[in-house]
Amino acid sequence: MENTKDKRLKVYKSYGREGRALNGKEILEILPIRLRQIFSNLPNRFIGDIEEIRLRVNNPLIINCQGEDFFLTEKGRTSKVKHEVIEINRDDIKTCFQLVTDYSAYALEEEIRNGFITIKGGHRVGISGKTIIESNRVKTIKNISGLNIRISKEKIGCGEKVIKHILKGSDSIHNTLIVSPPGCGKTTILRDIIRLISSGSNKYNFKGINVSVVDERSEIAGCYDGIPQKDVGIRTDVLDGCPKAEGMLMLIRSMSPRVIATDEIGRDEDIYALQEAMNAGVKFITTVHGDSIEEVSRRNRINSLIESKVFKRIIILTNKPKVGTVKEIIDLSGNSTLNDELLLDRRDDYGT
Amino acid sequence: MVLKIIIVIALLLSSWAIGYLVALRYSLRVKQLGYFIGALNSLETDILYYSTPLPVAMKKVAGRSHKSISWIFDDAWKKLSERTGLNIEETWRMTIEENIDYLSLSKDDIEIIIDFSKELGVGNKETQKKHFKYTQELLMEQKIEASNEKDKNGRMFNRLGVLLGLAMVIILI
Repeated sequence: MENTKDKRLKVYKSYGREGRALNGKEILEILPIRLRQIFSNLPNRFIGDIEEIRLRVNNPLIINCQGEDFFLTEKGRTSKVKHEVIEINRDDIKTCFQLVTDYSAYALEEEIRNGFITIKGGHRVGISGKTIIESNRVKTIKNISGLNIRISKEKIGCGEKVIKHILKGSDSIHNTLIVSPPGCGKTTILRDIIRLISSGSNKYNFKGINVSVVDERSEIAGCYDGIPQKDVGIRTDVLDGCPKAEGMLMLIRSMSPRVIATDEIGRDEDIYALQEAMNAGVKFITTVHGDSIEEVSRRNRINSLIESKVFKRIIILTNKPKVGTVKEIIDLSGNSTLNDELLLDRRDDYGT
Repeated sequence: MVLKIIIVIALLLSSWAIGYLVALRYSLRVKQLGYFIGALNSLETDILYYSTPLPVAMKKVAGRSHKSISWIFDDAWKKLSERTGLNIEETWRMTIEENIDYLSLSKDDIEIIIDFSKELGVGNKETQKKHFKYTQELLMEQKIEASNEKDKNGRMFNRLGVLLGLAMVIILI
C-alpha cells in the first residue's frame, strides 16, 4: 500500500493545489477559466473531499463535501452572504459544457440523451435543461441550465474489509447483493471487490478469476474512449453503456466469465438475466438501493431472489458515521450476521 | 545613356510589380475562400460521418487543406487540446485574429469565418449539418463576389501599374 500512496502523492504534487482539491486535473480542465481560479484558493479542509460541484444558471456555485453544501466566494473562501457568493451565469455553463464534451457535443448524442457524460478519469457530469422529444423519446437536451459534476472516488483497498466474507475457496465466490442508500459508496465498494476478485489476493490465498462487468451508466469502470479509467482488475471485461439484461446475456455467451458484476438491478428483465446467469453456473455481485433488508424485501422481484436463497451474502452499507461504512454482512444460507461491529473505512484519511 | 536606360527599366519593372502585387491580393482572396470552403467540407465529413472529436478533426483538416490556410486549423487544434478553459468561439476568434495579416480576406469574409465558430460543435449532427451548409453558402457568395472583383479590379491594377510606369518614364524623359 505504501507504494501506491507515494505514487499518489507524487501525482498530486504535479497537479498543484487546485488539482489536489479536486482529486486530479481532469476536473479542473473542464471548468471555465473564471471558476478555475476559485478552486486554487480553497481552504485545506476541502482538499480531496469534494464530492460534487453544482453549476446552475443564476444560482450560486455549490460544492458538496461529506454530504454538506458550501457556497464559495471569488477568493475561494466559504461564505453565506449573498452578495459575496459567486453566481453562475449562462456563459459559464455554456463553456463548461463545451469543455466537458471536448467541443464535440455531436459525438456524444447518446450520452446527452441519457443525461450524463463520463469524462476522463471516470468522473460524471449530469446535465439538465430543456429536452427535445421526438416520437416519445428524448432526442436531445438544449438550453442547458444545470451541470452536476460528480467527482468519482476510487478507494483502492476499501473492499478488503468485506472480501473475506465473499470469497469461497480459492477460485469461487458467493452470490452477493450490496444494499445501500444513494451516496454511501455502493459503487466504490463494488468496484474494489471486482478488482480483488479479478486480480486475486495473496492474503486470502485467492487466485484471480474472470469477471465481466455490465456498466450501464459508466460508473463502475468509468470508461473513457472505451478504456476503463478505474482499476477494475486484470481479468475484467467491461461492457460499457450496455443495458444490464442484454449485456449480461451477451457476456455469458461471449466472454465466459466466472463472475458477473452489475450496478442497481431492479427491472424484470434484469432478474431474468440473473437467473439465466445462475443457471449457466456464473456467480454474480450486484447492488440495489435501500436502507435495510426489510426495505429491499418489500420489492417483489428482489424479494423472490432473496427468498429463493439465490444470494448467499448481503452487505448493507450506511453513511453513518461516514460514507462507506459497512453496517452488516448477512449470511443468508445460515441466516447469521458475520460482523459484530461497524466496519469503518480506515483508509478514509488516506492520501490527503 | 546606359544609366538612363537602366533607370527607365527599373522604374517600369517596379511600377509593374506594385500593380501586380495589388492585383494578386484579389486573386489570392478568391483562392483562399475556395480553400476555406474545401476545408469546411472536410471538417463536416469528419464531424458528421466519423464523429471525430473537434480538436482531432481540426488536426486532420490541417493535414488535408492547402498550406496557405492549414496553419489556422493546426493552431486551433493546438489551442483546443491545451484545454485552456476558453470556449470554442473565443479560441477560434483568437486563432484568426492573431494571424489575420497572413490572410488576404476581406473584413466580411473574416466575420463569416469567425461567426462560424459560434455554433461549431454545439448541438447534434442535424444542427451541425445545417450550420455547415449555411456557412458554406455564405462563403460561396463571397467567393463569387471576390471573383467578380478580381476580374474587374485585378486586371485594372495590373494594367495601371504598367501604364503608370510608362507615364513616369515619359515625363522624366
